[in-house]
Amino acid sequence: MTFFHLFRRDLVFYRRPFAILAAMACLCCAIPTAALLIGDSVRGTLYDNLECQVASIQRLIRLPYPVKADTPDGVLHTKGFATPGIKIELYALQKDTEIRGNDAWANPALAKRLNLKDGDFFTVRTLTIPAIPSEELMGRPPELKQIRFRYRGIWHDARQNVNFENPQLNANNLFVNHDYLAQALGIEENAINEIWAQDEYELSDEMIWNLSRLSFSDWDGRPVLKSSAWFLPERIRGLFPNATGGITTFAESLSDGNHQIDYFFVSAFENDIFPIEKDFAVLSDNVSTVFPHGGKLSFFSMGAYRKLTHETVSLQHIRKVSDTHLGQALNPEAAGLTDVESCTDWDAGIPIDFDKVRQEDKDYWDKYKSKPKLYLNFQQAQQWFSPGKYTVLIFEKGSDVSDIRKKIIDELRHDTTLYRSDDIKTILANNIRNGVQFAPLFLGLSMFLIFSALLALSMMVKLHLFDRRKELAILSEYMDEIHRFLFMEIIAILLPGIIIGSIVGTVLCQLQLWMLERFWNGVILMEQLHFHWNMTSYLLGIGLSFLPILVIILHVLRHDSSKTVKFCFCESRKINMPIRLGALSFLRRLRHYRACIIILVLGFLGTLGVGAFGIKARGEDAFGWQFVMETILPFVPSTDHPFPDEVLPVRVFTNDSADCSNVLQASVPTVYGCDLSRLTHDGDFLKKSSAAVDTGSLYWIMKKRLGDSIAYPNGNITLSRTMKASVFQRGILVGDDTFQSLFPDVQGARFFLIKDKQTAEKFRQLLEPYGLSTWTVDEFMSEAERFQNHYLAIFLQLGVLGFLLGFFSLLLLMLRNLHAERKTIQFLLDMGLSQSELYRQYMAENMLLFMSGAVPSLILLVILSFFADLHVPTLLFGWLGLTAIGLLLISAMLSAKLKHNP
Amino acid sequence: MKLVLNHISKSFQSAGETVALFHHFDFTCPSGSARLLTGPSGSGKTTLLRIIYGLEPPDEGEVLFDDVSLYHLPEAERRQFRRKTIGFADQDSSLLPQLTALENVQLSMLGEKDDYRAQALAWLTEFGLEKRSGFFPQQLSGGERQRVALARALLPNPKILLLDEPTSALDMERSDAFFKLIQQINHDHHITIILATHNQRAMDFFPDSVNLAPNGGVGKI
Repeated sequence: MTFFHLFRRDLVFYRRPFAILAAMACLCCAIPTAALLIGDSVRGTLYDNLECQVASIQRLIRLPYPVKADTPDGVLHTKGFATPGIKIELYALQKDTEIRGNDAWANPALAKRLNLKDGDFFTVRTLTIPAIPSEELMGRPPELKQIRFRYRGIWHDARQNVNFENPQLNANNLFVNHDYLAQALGIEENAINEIWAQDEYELSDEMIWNLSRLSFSDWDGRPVLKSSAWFLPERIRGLFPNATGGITTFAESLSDGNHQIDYFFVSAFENDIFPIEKDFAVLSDNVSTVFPHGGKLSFFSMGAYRKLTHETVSLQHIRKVSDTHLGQALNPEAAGLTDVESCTDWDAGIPIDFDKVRQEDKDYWDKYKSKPKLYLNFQQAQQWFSPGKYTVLIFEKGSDVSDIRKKIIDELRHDTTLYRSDDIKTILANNIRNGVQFAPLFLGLSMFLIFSALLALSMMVKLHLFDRRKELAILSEYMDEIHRFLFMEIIAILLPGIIIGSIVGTVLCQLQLWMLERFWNGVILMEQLHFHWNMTSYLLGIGLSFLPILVIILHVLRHDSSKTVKFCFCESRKINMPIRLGALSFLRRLRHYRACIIILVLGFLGTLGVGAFGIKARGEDAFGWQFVMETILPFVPSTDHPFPDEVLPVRVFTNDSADCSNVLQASVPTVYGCDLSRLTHDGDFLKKSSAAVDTGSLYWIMKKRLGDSIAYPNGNITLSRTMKASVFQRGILVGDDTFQSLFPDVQGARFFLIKDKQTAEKFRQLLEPYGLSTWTVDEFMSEAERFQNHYLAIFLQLGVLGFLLGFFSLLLLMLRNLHAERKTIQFLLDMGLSQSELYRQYMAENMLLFMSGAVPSLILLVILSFFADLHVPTLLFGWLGLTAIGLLLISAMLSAKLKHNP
Repeated sequence: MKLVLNHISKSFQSAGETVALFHHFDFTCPSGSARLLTGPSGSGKTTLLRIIYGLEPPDEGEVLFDDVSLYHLPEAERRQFRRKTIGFADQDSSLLPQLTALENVQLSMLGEKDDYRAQALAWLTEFGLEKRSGFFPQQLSGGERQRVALARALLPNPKILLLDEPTSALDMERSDAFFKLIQQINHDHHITIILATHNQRAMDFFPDSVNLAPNGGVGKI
């Protein structure tokens, strides 16, 4: 007789208990393996998506506005939308010759969403890209454009699904003809604003010069540097300390009460160009009007969101002087203002009353165009119009223009604000790597289920040994190390269970991936999840289950499981009733039932605790504002229709989303900027260059702490305070001044908070053409909480699984007891005990067992509800429901078993 | 092998009182003899057998097998000595339910290189169970189970055979047959046999007996 032979016999004889033990071991291994594999699969799919979306593009160069360039990798990109609110990325590949006219090719996601068929016509709404920033005086709000396209099919390029924002999401891409798009947007031919380079890429001098929007004009042999964006870039002035600066603005009027001139340019120059004393002004002698006693100069000042104010300054002395040596060359160019044939054709973004234009103004324009009529002291003019800014730099006669240009290009090449060049693949890969760790998350979520399975396993092993106690006593006579044999035997049973658990874990993972694709899609927003595996995950899954199992088996073997708890009712209470007999039986077996009770408690806690936690309490929301509106295209109001006080516009620099739908790390999160004193009614809510952030976003998605800084192209933002459940959870919140200094190119608002319903209704009509979505704050927060609730739903399901595991352990225990006591039952029946008395006895025992799990869990949950946001009615009704179901099932099972197989 | 019990004392605790089972009990069983331990329930027959078997150390005294003092042996050696020298069959004829009759017999040689199948089968044949060797315990009658247990105790060729109430579950006819079998074994194999029973008919087969009275009284018949 060999040990192996004995083992083989045991295997056959104890096949049922062994199968249960192996199943428990299988469960212990399957759960962590599945959790780890889900992590592998989500991350692997993200990497797959990254490969597909970024394709072969290594370096992405983003320009703030389209510039003329000639590069094989040039792309003109703008955002648009098709009704109903489908955001579209419009791409025009500069060197593509395949797409003609209004033909458009979509990626599969867009074609599916718009249900497009070959030859279908459809319209995309987008915005023009103004040359001068929209919120500057000479700028103009972007215009809405409706571009009509004819769908031709799915774009066949490998870059069809290009998406530089988030590999988690499918972009809706439309590939169109470059000239057609440029024309529709009012951009010059060959202009591009993105470069998709497959290798390292350096912008050419020509492109940097075009990007700078600088140009030279000649003023009497002296080069004049001007910008088509009106003001010169601030860092340019320091490069040429010897050059003479100048500033020009458009004035509304000059009046002394009796005489008035309207709409003209005012200039001021440093040094000797046209030296003027403080408080003095010089009027061109080409103007016939005189102001012998000085006058008041009224000019426009443009604030945020094109809020126009009229400013008036007093000029003490205005004398007439010949300005023949000055000319239009000293003025910058503003489209629609300085370049029109007649001054009655002005099409500036500022309100001009053409009735005020007189014949002599027209004559002046015909002769001198935009040559200034009034000249001021430079320091005063700069202070009044735009402190620290210049519109022209005038160089010495004979200065070499190419030298100046080279110096500027060298300076701007390193200007991170001029263009953004990213190793996009590496950035996104890092965000994936540092994103949500699904493996530990799912492992953590399922930890108490694993713990329950381990407890169930320990209980089953104990009962198994208890049932074999007589046999083990015989064996111990012939075996020196009975425990070693038992240990080896149990391990030999559990090991295959663990190995099968790895396979079951794989199947479970596939099932959960399927569930994530179909039902829990709100968690990860990915339409397809590919199965990915890592050997480490399998080994870790095996290790995570095998080690605790090993400890449990050793613990059980070291403790004699045949001991029973001695418990007696006091003598005065006779054990003459079946219920008392059942209770006594329960108390005597309490030692064996311990694990089952703990599993039940865990199951109750998991199910009810999470369920009650899911009913969320409110946070800071929108600081008392009632409605949230969001547009796909940014909205800049015109000067005659500024935002009402009931509307709080919020600027958005879109980057990594920091809400809990993002499974990647939001290393450089989206930034929201608004007037914080209006938002919070707290003047000291945030300091300059600091931000507030939602707690959840901060720790989970951004993986940062308070005090950390985030680097943006124009400077850093320090995270200085937290919010709870706010409408800004997709990013960080900063003040208007911080936003404008860091993101000067982000013009207009895309996010709006509204005070009341009437304003929301009125404002909706205005914003509708910009791709509007409107929510009440409650709806908006519910949408945001949807993601969190999806996670909670998974947690809840794991809780229910834990409860089921505990409950089925109890049923298993009950059936095992009935089987083990079949002789006793027969004896009791022979003694004259009725079926109903027998039922009552066993019901009492099992009900006590179930309630000993249910009651402590209720007490624990009620205590927990004082510390956590638990919804007490859900908790109580849930508890009652689960208890009723549990007792009903026990009762049904027991009566069926006792009736058919006593 | 000669068995000598020298001044064996054994007591136990019951309801807070110390009850003396044996007090300076002496007993000798010459090599190849067969002795009967009789007495009513609770007289200490099983306890005495367990003391002889090495499972229950006495409070006082020693157990000598020839010149070997059983309880002076270290635990591991005592276990080895027991496995090789003493055969034991108890009143429940404890058989492992997962093993066949033959395998249950072979169990006593568990872990040995040889499987002792032929020897085990020989014992079963001697006990008339050769056709039942492949049966599981639950398929055997009480008498058959008792004989299987006896075969298991005899397989290692013990020098001493201890039998604890082997006929408690058997009728008179089967009891007699079993006692005859024991007699036969004692005669054929010269094994020293100590048989504990309250079955009075056993005395017809084994006249040399010790009567254990309750609470330590010992008498010799």
